[in-house]
Amino acid sequence: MPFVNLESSDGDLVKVDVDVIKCSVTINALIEHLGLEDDNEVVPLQNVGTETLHKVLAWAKHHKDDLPSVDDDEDDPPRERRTDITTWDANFIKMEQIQLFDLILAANYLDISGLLDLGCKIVADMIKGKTADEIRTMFNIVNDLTPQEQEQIRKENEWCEEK
Amino acid sequence: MPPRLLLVGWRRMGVGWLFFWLLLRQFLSNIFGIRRKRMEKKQHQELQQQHESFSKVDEDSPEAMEDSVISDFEDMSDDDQEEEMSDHDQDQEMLDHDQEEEQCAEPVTGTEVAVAEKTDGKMLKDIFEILIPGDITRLIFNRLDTEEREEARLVSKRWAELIDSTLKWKPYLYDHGIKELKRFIRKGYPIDELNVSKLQGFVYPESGMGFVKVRAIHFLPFKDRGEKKYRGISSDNLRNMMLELKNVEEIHLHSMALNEADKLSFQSMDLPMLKSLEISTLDTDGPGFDVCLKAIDNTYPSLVQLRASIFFDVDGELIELPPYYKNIFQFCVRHKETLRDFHVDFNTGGYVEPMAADLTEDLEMSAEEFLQLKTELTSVRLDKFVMAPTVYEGQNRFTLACTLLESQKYLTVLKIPNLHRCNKTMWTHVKAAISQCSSTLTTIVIQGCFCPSDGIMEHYSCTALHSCRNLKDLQLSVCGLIVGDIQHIPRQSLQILDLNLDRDQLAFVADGHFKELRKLIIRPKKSEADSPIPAMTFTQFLKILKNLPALTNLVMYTKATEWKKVKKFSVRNIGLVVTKCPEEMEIGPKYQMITINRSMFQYNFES
Repeated sequence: MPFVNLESSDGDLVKVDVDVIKCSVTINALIEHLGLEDDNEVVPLQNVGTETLHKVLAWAKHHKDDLPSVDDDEDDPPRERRTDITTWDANFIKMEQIQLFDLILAANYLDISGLLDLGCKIVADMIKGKTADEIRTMFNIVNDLTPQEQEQIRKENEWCEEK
Repeated sequence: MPPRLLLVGWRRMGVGWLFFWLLLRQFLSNIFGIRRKRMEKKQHQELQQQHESFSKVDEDSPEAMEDSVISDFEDMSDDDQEEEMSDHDQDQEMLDHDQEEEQCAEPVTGTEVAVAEKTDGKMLKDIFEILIPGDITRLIFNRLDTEEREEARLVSKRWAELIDSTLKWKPYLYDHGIKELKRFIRKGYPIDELNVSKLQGFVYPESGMGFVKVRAIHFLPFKDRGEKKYRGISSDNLRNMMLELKNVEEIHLHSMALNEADKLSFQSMDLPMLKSLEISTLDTDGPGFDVCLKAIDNTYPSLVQLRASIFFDVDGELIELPPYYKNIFQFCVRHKETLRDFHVDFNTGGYVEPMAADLTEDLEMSAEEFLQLKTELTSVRLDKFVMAPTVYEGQNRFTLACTLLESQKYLTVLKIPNLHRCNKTMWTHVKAAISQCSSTLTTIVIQGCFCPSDGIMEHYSCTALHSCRNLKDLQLSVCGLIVGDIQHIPRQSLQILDLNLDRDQLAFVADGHFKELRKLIIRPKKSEADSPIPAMTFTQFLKILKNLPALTNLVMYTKATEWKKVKKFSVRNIGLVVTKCPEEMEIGPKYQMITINRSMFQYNFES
């Protein structure tokens, strides 16, 4: 069964090579458990819109030949700390906040770790080096902390370290 | 085939229930066409559970959503499927979409509608709101370093809450921070470790502070503005606190923080779960020095690790020092059933040795006691032996250290960070231990100086390392030690190599025999004590980059390298970064480190 039809939350059908979308644990599981037997079967994805689905597929198509990452070395930094990002990925991920939001949600729902890592890295890069005020402005977040609570947080900051 | 026949067949053949149900389900599906529907429903239930936090909005009406999905699926007719585009058309559409994705109009997805209802417009900030699961935010915040996370905690209550779960808490218990600490305790965060500092005005309640689950305590000194000396915990507070924390697994004692504690505080303390005892003492700190060393006289039934750093000021009153060395070896014997990690570091801050005045009587014990202790040490089985002897060790205690080392057969880590020629006796025992522990050793670090006054160099053949199949870290950076036969160093697992290499040996390494090497420290081989021979050419540098594909850190002695060329090349090529060596390497200013980012560094070596 080389192809599968994915149905977006908008009701659009997108036919995709199973080999391309194998990076999605969720879709793999759906294909396996639904027992889809021919090219006309449909996998409904009620949490992924059409535009986002196309972006996901574009990413998956580009990365379909990637080797699965193996984190078997305790001396390696954790995967989320690796900073390398390819030029293609860098261009791919250039999008509005709203689209990035959808893409991260889709990657999480579809369980595509590579794409989720990429999206989270971009968001982390947006936060890096910024003050709390700048972060609030960037994401339009309201400060709900009282001065006392901020003082408590500053005090606590002396007590924390990475897990 | 009727179900009854299937059942009979199953019994006769002895096939499991699972197989039976699979066949039966297949049969029913063929007849009634219900399998797909049920599987679809079940799968959606599982997915809903797996991603329930993903769609908090979905939780508002999960059944409605599920029913909707199932009915959508059921409603899809064969005709609808036939109307799908051909494969070619689909591929073309995807291609077009790839090209146009930057200009795509904003779609109205189900998720967006749901979010919009909640938040008046979907924004990336919503990732940090209730709608999104903690897994995503954890992936984001884990990419920030601690300082960035500390700043981000100040954004909002929600952000603080999300980030807090990615951090480990080690609060301070000290006079001026009691109020904040109590507020923090009320949050209910798990406190794994506790720093205890100046605690004089506050009275530790006998009923406890809620630290029952604290696993590790660090006693650290504190100095107020205007105060002349560092202060620590009072005797009464220490007693009450340790009553609450009697199940602690790790204790780090710092002599300066225990000057106000009772001398015998830890000598008689009952700590049944203590696995690690770490002591940092300096003789001039005052009474806290004794408090720390007396802790070594206690017995801890679960103790696995002893880390003792005993420092002496060169101007200290050496004559009044307690016989700490004897006590440490007696401690090893008392804990031989559990002790596996022995780490003792003596430092005089210079070349003055604390027991230099009394080399033979340094242990203050009878000949019989000494022999008995020496014999008992042979039954201590360690995994890790790390010892930094003083430059001129007392004879008897040095003998005990060597006995402990030579008795080991299963060491994984062997480190002697300051082995000097005057302690060369230990080198013999190091070589013996390497041979005896060859099947288990992963780390060998021997550093120091054998530089002779008579010009006769010490030699070591790596043939002895040949059977160390698990060796990952080999650092034999002892100046005055000629290391030969490096082709016998195990190649499959070695990740760190630090040797004084000559030209031929460097060429051997550059040829790429150590494919797994991550870190290479190239020190120049010395013909005499102080005159380094230029060790590495630019061509060899390129060979190293090409032939050692896993290498990410290259440390080199700039005076013994075509450094200008190397640096110029490193600056011009993406993926190579030149930095100073980290302080913990204690390698000196004439060394530089090149960090290689393998995914970014691309160079055509053929050109």
